[in-house]
Amino acid sequence: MKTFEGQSLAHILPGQLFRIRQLANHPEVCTRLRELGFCENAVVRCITKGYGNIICEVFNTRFGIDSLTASSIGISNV
Amino acid sequence: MGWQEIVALVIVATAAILLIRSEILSRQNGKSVSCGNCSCTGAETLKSTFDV
Amino acid sequence: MTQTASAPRIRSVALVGNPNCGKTTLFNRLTGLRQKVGNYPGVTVEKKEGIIRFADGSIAEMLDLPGTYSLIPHSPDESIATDILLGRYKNENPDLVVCVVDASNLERHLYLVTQIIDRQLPLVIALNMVDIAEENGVNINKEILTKRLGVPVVPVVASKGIGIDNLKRVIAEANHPVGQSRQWKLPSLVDQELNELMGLLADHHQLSAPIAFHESVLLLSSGNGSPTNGNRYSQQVLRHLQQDHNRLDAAGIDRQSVFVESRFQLVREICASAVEKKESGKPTISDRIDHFATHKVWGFIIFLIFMGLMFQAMFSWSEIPMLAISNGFDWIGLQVTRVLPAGPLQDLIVNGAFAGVAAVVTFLPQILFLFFFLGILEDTGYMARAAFIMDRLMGKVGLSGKSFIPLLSSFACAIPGIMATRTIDNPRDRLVTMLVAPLMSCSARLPVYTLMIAAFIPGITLFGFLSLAGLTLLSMYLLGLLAALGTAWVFKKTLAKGTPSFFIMELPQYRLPSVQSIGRQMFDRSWQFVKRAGTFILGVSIVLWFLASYPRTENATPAEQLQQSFAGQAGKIIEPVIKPLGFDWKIGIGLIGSLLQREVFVSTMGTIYNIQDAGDGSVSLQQKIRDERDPETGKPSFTLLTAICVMVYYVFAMQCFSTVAIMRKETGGWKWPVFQFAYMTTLAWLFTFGVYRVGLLLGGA
Repeated sequence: MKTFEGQSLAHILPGQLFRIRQLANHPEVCTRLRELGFCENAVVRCITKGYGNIICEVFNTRFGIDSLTASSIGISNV
Repeated sequence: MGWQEIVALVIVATAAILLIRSEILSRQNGKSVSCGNCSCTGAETLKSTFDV
Repeated sequence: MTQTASAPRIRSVALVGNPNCGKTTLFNRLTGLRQKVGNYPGVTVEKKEGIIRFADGSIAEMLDLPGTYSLIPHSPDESIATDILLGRYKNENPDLVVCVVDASNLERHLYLVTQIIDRQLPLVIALNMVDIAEENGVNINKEILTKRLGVPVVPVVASKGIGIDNLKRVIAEANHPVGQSRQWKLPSLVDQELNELMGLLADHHQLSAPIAFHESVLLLSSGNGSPTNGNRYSQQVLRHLQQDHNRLDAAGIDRQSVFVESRFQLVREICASAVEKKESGKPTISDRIDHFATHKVWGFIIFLIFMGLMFQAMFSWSEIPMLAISNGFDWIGLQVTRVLPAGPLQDLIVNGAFAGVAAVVTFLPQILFLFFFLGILEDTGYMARAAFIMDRLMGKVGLSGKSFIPLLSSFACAIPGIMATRTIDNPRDRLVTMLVAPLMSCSARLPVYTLMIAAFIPGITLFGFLSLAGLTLLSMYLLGLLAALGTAWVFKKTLAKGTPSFFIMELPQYRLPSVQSIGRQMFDRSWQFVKRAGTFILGVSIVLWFLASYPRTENATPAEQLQQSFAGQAGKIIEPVIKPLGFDWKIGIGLIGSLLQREVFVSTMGTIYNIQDAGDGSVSLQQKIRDERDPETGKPSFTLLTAICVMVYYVFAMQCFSTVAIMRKETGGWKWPVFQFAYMTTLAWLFTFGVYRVGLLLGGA
């Protein structure tokens, strides 16, 4: 799996808000992520981190996401 | 052979026939996947799903 | 481009929507059926059928489909829904689609709605959970939403039955609109290429305009070169597609994101005009619970406490009702002996039928407790958190957290567990999860464990509240879980090599468990259990009585009679195979009898021990097993070690024909079910042998 080299979703801390900038993963994974709401320009909020995985909220929906997938989602400040 | 034994053997034979019959019928109707322990009804499963 | 469907009377209605948006709750309300509901994504993994009755007496067929986030499926359960929506199932389209949308989460759910509108099927939107949306400060203007989408929008609260009659009335109306398709704005170059490709697909492959549109979007957003299903298309289409890709790439357009992004842009515009939201900014209850429930330390501890409580309750709290049921059966047996003189018929009724059925029905309270706790897991929203907590552990064996929900469901029964693997997108992960799911201790093993524990585990309490019996039961369940994880690790290293698929799972809002929903599930399952005892177990017990009582031997003691019976002879035949496990021929009868159903082991023990003791109703089955002596050596036949070995054997052994049948169906052949039966039986023999030998070395005999 590819990972995003800049700041990624895996690095954000609980309570922080970020905007998704780029997805760097297999095309089918990217399509799924986008369809779930993790598309470019969407705002994402970190709820909690645990066991290396994170729980975040996008489009008012909460998702548990593994750290490797989270590291393929490039983000920037809102 | 007393009357009790005759009645007992008739019950056994009936139970055996009913068991075999229900097993055959359930195979034919596709009910074989129902375990009976939960609400998963095999008939529904086979009738309603197509191969995935 | 609003059109209207011409069908005057609908015959089939498909209920669709994102996972966990309340489709099945609405389906139950509309059809009066009682399909299982829960608060986690993936409760429904198959198409369910029901009949909806309208006010004028007419009826229509209603289909409840598994949830899907989009028309591009990623797992087998999503394929079931998308195939029906794309007209691939029996080459038929539903007359009407009712798309259930979570009002508290409109922005995400409208994505699928726009796809269905582009599919140009008659559509009605059921705006569910409007009460929760209002509590969260979300106000939706229904009129604006209806106008923007071009289809009727009906607010409902499925869980409380609000708005159902109105929805039925709207469904019953003739000429449903199909909505305004392609409202989303694409860059002009993309739009142009899309139209060209659509025309080509319609000409070359005789596709209808909506299907050609759907396939064109898929093709244009696919990777460079030939798409994975390229052999479906003509050379001319593929050549054109390659040119399209080149032109769009040269223009700097991200083909993969442009369609999704454009759709979401439309959704944002619709929501901006139709939704009013007051942000409170305060953490919600779910935020606060998740802070602990998914914490890296507390999360695991909370999960273990919950499981520990479940097993304590199953063993300790169910003791009194179990005793009451057992006494009730004894009393009935006593009445039969008073009415009917001693003889074969009395023997059949009391020692055959009653003893067998009673041995199984006694465990009903435990089954109820198991389903009560599983119901809480499913109904509160904690199930998805358990999968999240376990993702790391599952990753160590090569699976993802998604495999944990099927495994947890298998505590109830392996069949729904195996079916729940349809939510797993990676086929290798799905196969491995199906192969190991029956190792999780299902409710049919519970009577076997309990009988052995009650007979041989001392009633000691540790630390003032932990009973040794409850801990033993917990350890059997843990052994099953560890066995499942261990074999999954081996299979992922050998049979199904590959990296685990990515884990991303929607975590629903927490909610209070519904007493009605859990109560109904407990009732349904206990009724199934009792029905089974009254039919299959009763039949088997009667037949077993005959096999254990015939051929008759003159002047033989009951024990000698049993030994020379058909069942006794069968037990003796397999005794050499099971002797190394510490099992005698009587246990052998139980093993043969329970090949189709595990709990038959208990009814078999009940029947043969009653026959042997000539129906001494004053002594419990546990006591009879404890008192059993080897006629040659005079030593106890059943010891603590034997009991542990029986439990270990049942942890691993397949002993369930229904599981074999569902595996055949889900894998499409006999290869995997045969493999599963073989590997589980081998593991059962090897592990039991190992435990027995180690037990002997430690002086367990």
